[in-house]
Amino acid sequence: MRRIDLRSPEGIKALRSARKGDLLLLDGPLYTARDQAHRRLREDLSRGEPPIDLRGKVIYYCGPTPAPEGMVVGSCGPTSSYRMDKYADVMEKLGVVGLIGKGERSPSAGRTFKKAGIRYLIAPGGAGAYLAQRVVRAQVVAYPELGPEAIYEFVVEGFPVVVEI
Amino acid sequence: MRRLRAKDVAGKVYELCVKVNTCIRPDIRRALQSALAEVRSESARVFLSALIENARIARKTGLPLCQDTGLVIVFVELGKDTCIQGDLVGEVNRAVERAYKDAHLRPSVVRDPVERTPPGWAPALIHLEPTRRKRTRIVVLAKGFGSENKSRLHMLLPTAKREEIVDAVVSTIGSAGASACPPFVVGVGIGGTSDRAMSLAKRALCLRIDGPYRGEYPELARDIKEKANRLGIGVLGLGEGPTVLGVNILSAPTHIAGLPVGVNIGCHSTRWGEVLM
Repeated sequence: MRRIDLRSPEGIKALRSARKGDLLLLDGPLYTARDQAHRRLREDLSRGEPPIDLRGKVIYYCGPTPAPEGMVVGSCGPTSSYRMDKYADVMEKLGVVGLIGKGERSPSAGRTFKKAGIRYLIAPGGAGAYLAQRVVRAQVVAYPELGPEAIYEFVVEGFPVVVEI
Repeated sequence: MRRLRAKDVAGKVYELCVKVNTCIRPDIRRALQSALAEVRSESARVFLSALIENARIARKTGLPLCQDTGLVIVFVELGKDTCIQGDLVGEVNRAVERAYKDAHLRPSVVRDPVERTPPGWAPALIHLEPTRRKRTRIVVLAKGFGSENKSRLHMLLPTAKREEIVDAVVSTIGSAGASACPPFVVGVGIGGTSDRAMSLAKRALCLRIDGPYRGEYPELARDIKEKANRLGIGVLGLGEGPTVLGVNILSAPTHIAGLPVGVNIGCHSTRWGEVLM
C-alpha cells in the first residue's frame, strides 16, 4: 500500500511509475466527471475553451448523491468507466494524468491511455458511503446545471485505488 | 372483498425506499462477510473490507450504500378478491419522490429517454400482478444501472439442452465483468415470452440468497452458481473470492417453439425489501 500526494510533483511521478495491481492511497484533489460532463468537455475543447484547467489532474467518474446537512458530500462511489471510453482522446488533449472508475476499458481507450501516460485506476464500486468519508472538501467547479453530473473538485485523504492500466 | 388504500401502499413504498438504500440486506451482509475468508491479496482484502465497512457507515450516517440509488421498481402482487382504492400510480410516485428527497438520494430518473431531460426522482416502474394468494405483497427494488446495463435476454431453441440454459446465464455473468460490481446476485427468468422472462428475472433478484432456496429449479440454480464461480471475476473484478453470491430462478409456461431465458444481474448490494399487507 503506497500513499500518493497528488499535489506534489513526486506524487505525480509515483503515480506514473506505479505498477498494475498496486494498491494506492490518494491524497489531494480529484475532479468528478461522468457522461454529460465528458460530452460538454469535448464541445468546449473543440471551441478551445475548457471550463477548468485539468492539466496534471486526476478525473473521477462519479456522480455523488446530495450532501445531507453537516456532511461534506453524499455517497460517492465510482461509476462504470467503459461509458467514457469514447472520450479517451479528450482526456489526452486535456492533459490529465489519471482516471478513476470501475470495470474494464476498451482496447482502443487503453492504447490511448498508455500512449499519453494516463493511468487508469479502479476504486471499490458500491462503497459510496465508505468513500464519502475519505472526501474532506467538495465543491462544484464546472457545469453546475448538470446537477449530480456537474464537475466537482473533491479533496480526498487516503482514497483507495488499484492500478489497472 | 378486501380493500387496500393506495395511500397505505404508497406509505409502505416510502419506508422501503429509504430502508433498502441505506441498510444492506442481512443475507447479503453475511455472504460478503464469509467471502473475506476467500481473498488473499492486499488489494482484494482492502476492497472487500471497504464493502463491509460501507454497510456499517451507511447504517450509522444514513448515507445511501451507493451513489447510484437506482430506478425504483415496485411489484404489487395483488391478493385474490382484493381491490386498491385511489390513485395508485400518483400516490406511489409521490411517495418515491418524497422518500428520495427526504433521504438525500440521487435523482437518476430521466423522464424522456431520447431527449435526456434533466434527472428527477420519479416516476417508478410499477408492476401490478394479480395473484391467487390471500395477501397482497409489495416488493421494492432500487435498481442500479451498472448491473442493469449488463442484463440480457436469450431466446433459446425449444430443443436446447439443460447445459445451454446454464451456459446462456453464465456467459451473461461473464460479460457483465467488473463494472457491474461483482460478486453478483443473479435473477433468472425461464419461459413465458421475451418480456415475461425478463420481468421474472428481475423478480427473481428479490428473493433471499441464504436459508432454504426460494426459487424454482434448485439444481439448475446451483449448477449456474458453481460454473459462474469458476469464471474467476471475483470481488470487484480483482480475480479473487466469489463472482456470484446467489442465483434464483423463476419460471412461466412458454410456447412449443421457444425457450426464453432472461438474466438480470444484481450488484453485491442488490437493494430490495418487501412487505405483506
